[in-house]
Amino acid sequence: MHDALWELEAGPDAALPAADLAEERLLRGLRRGDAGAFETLYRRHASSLYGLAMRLTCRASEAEELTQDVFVRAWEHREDFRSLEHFARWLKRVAVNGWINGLRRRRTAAGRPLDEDDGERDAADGAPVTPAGSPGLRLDLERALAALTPRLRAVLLLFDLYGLRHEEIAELLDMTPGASKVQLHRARTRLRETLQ
Amino acid sequence: MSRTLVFATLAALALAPALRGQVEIERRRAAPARGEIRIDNAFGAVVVRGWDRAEVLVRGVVAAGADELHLEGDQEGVHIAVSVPDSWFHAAGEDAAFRSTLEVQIPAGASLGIQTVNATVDVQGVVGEVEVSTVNGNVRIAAGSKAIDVETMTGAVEVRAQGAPVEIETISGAITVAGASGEVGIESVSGTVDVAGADVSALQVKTTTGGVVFRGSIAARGGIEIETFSSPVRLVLPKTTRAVFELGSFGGKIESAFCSGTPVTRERFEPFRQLRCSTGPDAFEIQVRTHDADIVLAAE
Amino acid sequence: MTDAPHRNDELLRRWLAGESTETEERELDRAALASPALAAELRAHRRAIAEVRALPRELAPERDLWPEIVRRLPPPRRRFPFAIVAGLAAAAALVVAVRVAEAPREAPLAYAAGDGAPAAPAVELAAYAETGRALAATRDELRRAVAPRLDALPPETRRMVFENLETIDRAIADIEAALVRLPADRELARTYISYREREIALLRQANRLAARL
Repeated sequence: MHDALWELEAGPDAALPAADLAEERLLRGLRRGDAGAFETLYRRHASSLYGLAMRLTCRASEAEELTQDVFVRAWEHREDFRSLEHFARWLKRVAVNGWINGLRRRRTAAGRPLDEDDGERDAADGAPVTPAGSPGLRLDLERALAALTPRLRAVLLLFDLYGLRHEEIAELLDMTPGASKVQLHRARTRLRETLQ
Repeated sequence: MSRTLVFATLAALALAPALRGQVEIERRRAAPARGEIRIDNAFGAVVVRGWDRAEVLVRGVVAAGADELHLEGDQEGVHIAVSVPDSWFHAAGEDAAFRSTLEVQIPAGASLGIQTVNATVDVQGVVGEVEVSTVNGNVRIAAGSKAIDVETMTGAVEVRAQGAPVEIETISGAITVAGASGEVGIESVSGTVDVAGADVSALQVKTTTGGVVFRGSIAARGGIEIETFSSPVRLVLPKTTRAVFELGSFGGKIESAFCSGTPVTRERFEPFRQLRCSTGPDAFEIQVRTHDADIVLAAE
Repeated sequence: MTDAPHRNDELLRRWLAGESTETEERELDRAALASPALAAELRAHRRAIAEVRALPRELAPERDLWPEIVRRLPPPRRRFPFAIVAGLAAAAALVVAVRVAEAPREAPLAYAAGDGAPAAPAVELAAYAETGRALAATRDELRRAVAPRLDALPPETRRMVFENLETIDRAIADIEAALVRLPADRELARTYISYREREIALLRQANRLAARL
């Protein structure tokens, strides 16, 4: 299983089918600094980006802030996007990096490592999100994920939910592929123990 | 007034600028046992010791040119700071009048954050996380803490990890880590790197020209990843080590006491050399790359 | 004779670490048939993983974030400030991360110098070349942007930083010369990009510490 959203572009641009012309106009608008084009892109990608941010942070306020940060940075880099696929991949990768940098900044302020459990954070503002209609079991899973350390949660979600390989996870999270495997083992074991 | 008294008065007035403002201090404040302790002291020395009281005790000397000591806190933690006038921040060699010495005792279970510019740092007996950010001061940590994070430019860093995950970043400061276990991440430019430990599961070292030495045993699973340009790399591992080895150098030599049956191959792009072999399952990977420095793998 | 419990432990460990081959996974399933305890544990793990995989990836924010994003959008820039340069360096590094991670891992090499190794596909090499050019451009912009700050470093430290940058530049020149002889070599292309990344990392590290002076 490998999420196509994370794959490389195929290579030099080939002839575009007619259906992609509208997307190319959107991309040109973005590069030109057209706020309307940018809003259209925001509306298309906000949910997937916010979903990723929420899975990583387990906290609605942080996920909102991370989502906003990423889109603001995307505007600042608007001249660099070669395609809308590139744009979509860029958003997700910058979100993961932004989340890690945010953790490091908070660690600098509070002297805490990435590996410290943050399971107690999900009160009031940080309650795990359950999509409408989800059973109680889903709430247990969200809580179990929130109880993992940030690093373990990131490796588990990037591997099992987003389908990345260990080499890709290692690049994103600045660890070796071997460490990614160890973290996945640990994360899956703890998740199962928590859900028992 | 007698001549002696006049001279004594004049002498006292002459000495007064040096002594005026230099203040010996001893202050206490209650502190949560597992709270956050922050210490800011730009120049001088910071010595921290953990103890078993829910209290912070600060002793030392606040320099003549420094502002006063600030000691404040709440139920989350305590902040200790000695500030100096901004104009002296660039006078690194002329900071004698601004060097304050702080000896601080904190609850052993607290998390500790220290920020300095040219102060030496010495931490012992702190079980919580320890984070130090300095520019030129030497740093010594023997903490037994949950995690250790040090950032410096030219200061030497000496850490007794006692199993805690360690992250160190320097430009030219020498780095020594003893008691490494679990995860160690080191980034330097020209500082030498010397790591010793047991059951190390993740060691990552990136440097440009400082030499790298690792002595110790590896965990059953994990990896060692070392990247340098002109830094020679020497790994000394138990002869029973089971791992996958991937060693490569564009211009340096490779010597290995492991996988003696596998030759070092010359790659198609001379003068690159490579050794790829394994002494066991691929649960542990050892990857070393240099540009033109030698790689030596020794067994003991 | 195989040591079945240890073998089962190793199979389960590899599966949990996401590194099992299909053969190993089938072997694990067969072992579970003979061991109720292993079967129960495997079921529990698979149930947990299936739940994770069933999580929705898309979640709508509880409020519209667009107005706040618009408020934060910067005005059109006239110069090329360092923050953008640093952002570009990060973006370039991200591009590199995507490209390097996606390139297929080579099998162990076992041929002598001069043997014809299979060349990397042209599209992959083009990607590496483009990334290398982007990183070189980023490095140039970064050097110009951080120069004032690096000039503020103590002389000895500044000298050491620039000496190390020269060390990396010489290494890059070695790889570039090798690439002229072997333009289709994946290992060389990856090494070139890795060296460019280290160069940018060194500039950013020195800049970050210099900012504290």
